[in-house]
Amino acid sequence: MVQDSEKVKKIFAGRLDVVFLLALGFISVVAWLLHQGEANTAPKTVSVRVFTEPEQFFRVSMPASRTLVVSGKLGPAEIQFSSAGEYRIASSTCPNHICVNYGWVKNGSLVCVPNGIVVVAEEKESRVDAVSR
Amino acid sequence: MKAKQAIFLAIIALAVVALLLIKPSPQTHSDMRFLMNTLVTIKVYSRADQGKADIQRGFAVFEHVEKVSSSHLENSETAALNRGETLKPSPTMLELLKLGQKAFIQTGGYFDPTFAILQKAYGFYTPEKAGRIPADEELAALLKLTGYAEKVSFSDKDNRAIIASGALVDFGGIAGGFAVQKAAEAMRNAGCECFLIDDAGDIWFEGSKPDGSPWRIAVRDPRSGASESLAVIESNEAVAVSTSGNYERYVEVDGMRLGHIMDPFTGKPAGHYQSVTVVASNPVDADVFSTAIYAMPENKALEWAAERKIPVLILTADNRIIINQAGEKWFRTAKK
Amino acid sequence: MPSADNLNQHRQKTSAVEKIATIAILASAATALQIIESPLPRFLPWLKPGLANALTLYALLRFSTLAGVGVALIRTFIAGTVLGTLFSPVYLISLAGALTSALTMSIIKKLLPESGLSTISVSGALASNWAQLMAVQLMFAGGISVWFHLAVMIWVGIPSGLIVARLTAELLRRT
Repeated sequence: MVQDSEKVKKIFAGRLDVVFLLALGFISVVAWLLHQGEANTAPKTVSVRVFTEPEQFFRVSMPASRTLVVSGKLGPAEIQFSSAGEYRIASSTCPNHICVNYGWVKNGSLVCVPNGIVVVAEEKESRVDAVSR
Repeated sequence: MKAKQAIFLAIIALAVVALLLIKPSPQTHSDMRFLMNTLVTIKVYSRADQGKADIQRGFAVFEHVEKVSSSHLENSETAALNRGETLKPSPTMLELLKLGQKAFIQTGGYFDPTFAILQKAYGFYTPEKAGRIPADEELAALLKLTGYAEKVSFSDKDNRAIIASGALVDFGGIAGGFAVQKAAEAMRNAGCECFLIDDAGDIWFEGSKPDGSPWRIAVRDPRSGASESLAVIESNEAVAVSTSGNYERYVEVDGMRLGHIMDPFTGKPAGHYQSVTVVASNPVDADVFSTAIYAMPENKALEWAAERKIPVLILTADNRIIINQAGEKWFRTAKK
Repeated sequence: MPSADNLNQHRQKTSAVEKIATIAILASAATALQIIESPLPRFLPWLKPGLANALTLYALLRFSTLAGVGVALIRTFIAGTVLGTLFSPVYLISLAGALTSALTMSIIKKLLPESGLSTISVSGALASNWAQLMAVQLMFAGGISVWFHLAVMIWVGIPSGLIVARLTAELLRRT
């Protein structure tokens, strides 16, 4: 076989190698901390869309303790937010109140079909793509 | 030495900067609309604006299916059939009629669009969904007007469809899955590779997500106060998920909830379960199976599902969670 | 009687044939490693251990940059054929990684001749993962958390780079 003129290399040939790895380790820790910082500064927000003409849109920063009154396609509806980070449709002028009976929700979505109201939590990376119901 | 090391570091810096610059284009496009009496959500993972166009394509299919098949719209073909008219069915309607027949035969009559006449008797078609309980004699008479194979006739060749006098049809148990399937087809044909369509009760997804993560679908636990889901489905391959229950379409009589899925023998709303979820290879099957199984009593349901290797997750009326053997591969529960 | 010229010619001819044969052997070993690695679960599509890079590095050090790049390209192509992923996004990702790794390792070797195998192969691993991430981004235009990906890339790159360095050292020692 043709011999290369270089000598056989060692895994750790000198100081540079150690310095290199240490530098990388340091960078990775910094990167991780920056990532953590990124994740914590964004509070969860809940958005409310009302499909009337024209469409209405509201955004609530969580946690919040308040009641939002919106005018849906059929009439007013109350959306309640709790300081525990949960939300529910407290009342709605729809015939069956399926949305009201759904109760409090922490991360999911609430819908009132007749009134055209959708309440969704906006999160950076949602854990599920959809809920089958 | 110094210069070379500087170059080395410079290259690293450039690489990190490049990484930072490539970031912000949105990964998912998603939109939701109220169609077919439910909330339809379509999500697409794709480059830039192509995704938005594909989503609208999907919604257009739902609008079309609704126009053709909704029993609540006066001008729909279903409404025409229900008025006793002889119909010249559109290709979409014809497809729906055929699928209805196939489902009726496949499920031994447990899936039957002609149950509409029973639903009407219970009050499902009144605007306020005012519930009432029909007497047994009334039910017996109405049952004689059900039976898709007898009551619905259509001919491909003659382009003609008609239902028996006094009977009613409602394709609600299959239209959802049908619309999802057709929408997926339209989006796929337009070149969309990675998307999810969700009409609340029927879900279909296909393609691989850019970050390689599997699709995760949670099955809702309908019991009040339950914040977790009954189970989560994780899959990289395309599948359809469908749930049938009594908690979204129901009428109330004296505080009691009556679901919209009927038992073919008694004519009464089936009350064995709170929810039934199935996984299938296409949305129409998923929709049909979940609806049919919901109407079947436990032994029959599990037997029928086992014969066809249908994965199923059931929450019974008395709060038991049943996952059949085929379902164990699919449904992951946090607690057992 | 063989003259000096004849001997030289003979030596050159056989060494050319030998070279190709050696590269073929190295490429097939690399292909095998890539194929073995492929069913391993990944929690990010561009994050791969890249054991096959050991052979790229070996060819690089033993022969030349061209040999190293050759091994990288050939093994990506053959593995792609065997796995049926030829010209798919997966293939482009692995091609990006293999090529970048080979070139980077060559550059590091030239730029920093006093560095050990660890620096070279860890750089190769990082460059490979970075190129693969770029490929995913270009093809799918995602929104990503840069810092998260950088941290993970380093955490995976260091051990896999060290393993590759070890493999290469063994190969160099025994041949």
